[in-house]
Amino acid sequence: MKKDIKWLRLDNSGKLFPMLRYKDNQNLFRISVELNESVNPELLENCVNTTLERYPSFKVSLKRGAFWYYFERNYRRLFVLPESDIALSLMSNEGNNGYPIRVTYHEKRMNLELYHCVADGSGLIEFVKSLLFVYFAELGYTIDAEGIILNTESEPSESEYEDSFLANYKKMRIRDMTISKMAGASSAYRVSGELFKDEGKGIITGTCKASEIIKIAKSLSCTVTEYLAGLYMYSIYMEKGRLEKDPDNLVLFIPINLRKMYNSVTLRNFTMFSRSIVDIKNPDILLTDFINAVKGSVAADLCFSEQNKNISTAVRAEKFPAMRFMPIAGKKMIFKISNYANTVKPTKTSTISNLGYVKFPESMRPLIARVTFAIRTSDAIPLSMSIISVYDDINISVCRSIKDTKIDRFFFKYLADNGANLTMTSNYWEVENVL
Amino acid sequence: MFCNNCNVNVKTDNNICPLCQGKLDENKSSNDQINCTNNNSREVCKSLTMTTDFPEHIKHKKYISSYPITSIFLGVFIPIFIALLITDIMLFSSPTWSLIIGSLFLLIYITIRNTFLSDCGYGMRIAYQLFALILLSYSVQSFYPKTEFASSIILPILIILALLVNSVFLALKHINYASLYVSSVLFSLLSLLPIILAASGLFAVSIPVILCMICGEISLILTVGFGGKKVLTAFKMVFHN
Repeated sequence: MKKDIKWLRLDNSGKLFPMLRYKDNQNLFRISVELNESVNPELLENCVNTTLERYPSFKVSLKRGAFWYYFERNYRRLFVLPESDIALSLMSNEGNNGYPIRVTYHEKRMNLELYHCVADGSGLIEFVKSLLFVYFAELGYTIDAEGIILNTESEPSESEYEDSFLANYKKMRIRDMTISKMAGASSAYRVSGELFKDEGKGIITGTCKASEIIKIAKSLSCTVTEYLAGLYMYSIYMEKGRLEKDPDNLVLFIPINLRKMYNSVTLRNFTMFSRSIVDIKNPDILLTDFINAVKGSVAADLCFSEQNKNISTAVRAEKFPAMRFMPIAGKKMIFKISNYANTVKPTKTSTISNLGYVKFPESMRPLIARVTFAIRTSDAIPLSMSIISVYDDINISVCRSIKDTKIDRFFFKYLADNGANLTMTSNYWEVENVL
Repeated sequence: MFCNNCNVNVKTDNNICPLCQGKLDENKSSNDQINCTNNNSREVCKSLTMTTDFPEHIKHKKYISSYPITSIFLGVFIPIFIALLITDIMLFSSPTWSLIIGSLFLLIYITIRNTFLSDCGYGMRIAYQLFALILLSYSVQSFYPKTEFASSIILPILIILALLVNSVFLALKHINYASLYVSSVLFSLLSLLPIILAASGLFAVSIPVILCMICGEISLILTVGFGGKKVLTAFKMVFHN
């Protein structure tokens, strides 16, 4: 009998996401798994609901309290729906039986879309692994969990749904807080382009052997994330930034998974952002300049004392009496104003998120064709890149709110020209919108 | 298929490169560029971009958020209300009808924005409606300065109605239970307001005032009796800090 958790507070960073929801801006992301056979939707629905029992922080609905949002245990069934043509469409608090998670299917593909207030990519990937384990077992395949999958029969431990920000909070004085560093003081270059007329997003995914990218990155003495982030910034600069008069700094957000650093096993949010900033007013910036900027910022943010400061700042800000006791409507109003300011002058150009190498059991290898990851974009920050490596392949997805594919083309063509044997897929949203 | 322009393989059952929109070639020969922005090639492009890899594209409307409603309210209703209020003050000794129109505006806004488009709990939505209706009744009462029907009749009746609607939601749907338990207790406490006001001599005690108090107490007993520990948990959930 699994412990019945009636409600949960949102974690420190999760608390921000419902407040940050503004017009059509919602922090959603998706992990898609392409199988080698068609998805059985009825079976998938049963398996999703079985898996949800093991993940109490996912089996919830988001509710509005007097001061903060909170999660209430959701006793209703999560329905598996056919995939919509709109990728990462908005989630309402009451649609989908109140779940902040959406599971869809299309032929051989299953998609799991999650509202960021529940968990980050690392949390969702654990859920995906458990779901696949149950699904394949129900289909009659013999799968060995190899100790890397959370068994749905086991009892969830408290550390899996703890707020790791709070757990690692160390008291700090107000003057030591690093709010301006975390929020971003100056405005960032905004990628220009004609926005899609509707809610849809264009997603282009490139797949190649991870070894090919590792080889290119090694030749430049950097990691895969540093190389891809640098190249992504370079693509934005080459195709857009350098063509504009007096552009703002190019600012790239790179989420840093803090689990390893703090020995956390939480399935909720536990990431901080590293900000790579490059002044693109200078002419003739080289790829290596962008890579060096990323290297520098990531190295600085991987420092334990720096993250201690960031975590403590985030928690301390939440604990301000004015913040704590302000009714939720007041908080939303403040965030709405800051969101509006962000829409006019965003503090970041884009986000690149690398989930890294995700280990799936070897016995699943013949059954899984591909795993992809995508982050929803907004009108203000119309471009995002997400990367995931599974088995031998690396999958790089670019999500767009703009019709223009020039940046994507530059990025993937550059990789291909440097030795990556890329295979592309797309939902062709840009072509449909042009028509 | 392969795109010679971009030097990438494209896994698709249509004939177009997602990166350059060039025509794909199975034989790795040169690509022809298709201009899909040209209306003449509309049908050609549509047939070329049909793919079974993703669901078929449907024409969608732009997402409309609740934002325009707030903008309309702030930009249209409030200036109209201010103009009416000024006219009212200039024409009569005391503002009356402009307040009724103002509270009607507010009621319409609250009904649309906070009832249909909000993520508030059901209890909060009922509370918003209650507030707007009370405001409206007091505005109407200002037409008849010698009467106290808003305080002695409408206020208690509205509180009774709010209690009833809340109880019906709680009993039938059991949705958003924390919010409904909390609002049930708060409405029960609010039901004491008319009798307190009457006792302090602001208006005469009437049957609705007494009924309101009785309904409120019954509701409180039922909520705490049936809810038990759930009520306490509900308060913890809603007011956690």
